[in-house]
Amino acid sequence: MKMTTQNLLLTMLPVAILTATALQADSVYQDPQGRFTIMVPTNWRSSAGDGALQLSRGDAYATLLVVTEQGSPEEMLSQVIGQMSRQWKDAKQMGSPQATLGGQPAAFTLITGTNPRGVPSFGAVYAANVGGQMYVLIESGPMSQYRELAQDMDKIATSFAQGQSSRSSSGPAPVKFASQSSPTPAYAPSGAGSNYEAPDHSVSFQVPSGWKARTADLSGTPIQVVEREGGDEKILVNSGPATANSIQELAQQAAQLVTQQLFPGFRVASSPRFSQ
Amino acid sequence: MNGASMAEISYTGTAGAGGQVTWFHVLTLKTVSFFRYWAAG
Repeated sequence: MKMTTQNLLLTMLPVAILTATALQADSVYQDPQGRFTIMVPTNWRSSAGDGALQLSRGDAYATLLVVTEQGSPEEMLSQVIGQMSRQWKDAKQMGSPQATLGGQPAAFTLITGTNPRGVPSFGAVYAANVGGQMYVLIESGPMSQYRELAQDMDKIATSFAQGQSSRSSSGPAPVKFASQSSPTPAYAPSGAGSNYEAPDHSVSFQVPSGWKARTADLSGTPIQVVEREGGDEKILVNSGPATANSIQELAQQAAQLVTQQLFPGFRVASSPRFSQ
Repeated sequence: MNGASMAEISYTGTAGAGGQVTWFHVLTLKTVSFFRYWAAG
């Protein structure tokens, strides 16, 4: 399974399926040549085509490429992101936080936009040199399914490992879409501070002593409510993909959402303040 | 405000019991996620 950048354009779209298997439980895909293993989450299909391994679930996919072309992970990432940006409409790079793949430092970028099928989507591209071999992992899915897909995307990226071992990489975790720690009760214990994780794994945070956290529905939006015991104070927390170009645009969107949908009757009291 | 990564918006409204409340809304951009916080004042 060798790739050149000339073939990347094709493999970034769902590739022709030579073999496809829908799995009912998490399993491990092992490269026939013994170069790597990677997890296939429940209900994802694996298809090994000419030059790429693709995992897919509905319109979401994770494509792993073994690339022969010389160059650094940063150069490879730049090529792939460049191609995606030309194929996607309104493509925006959302950040390049530190990441790892197979225990090695990876060049990494998050992207949003409308994919070639016309579906508003998110994407993540990793490029890393693992054991002397360049690997590129491209993950993408519809923005509307971000919550459902985030954990599976994390599993796939985290599980990638060089060689035939079926164990996960022992290196530092790659960038995560969603927390993967074990679920916590809807109400976190109110002891001397505790960690709370939303049931949908969208966010986790520390709950101070004397406060309780629970999940709730606000006009169809799942939110986490943190309340001080014996007091009126509340903190509502929500996490999700942002499509704004800037924090200023995000603030404008949020103010509209709050005053028109979530809390009709509320009004903005003053101009938003922005800071680093 | 180019380069800002955090926004704070304050709202006023009426709480369920009829009292006037102020909510502070803090937003941050973090990769593709953002967090919203409201705290009743």
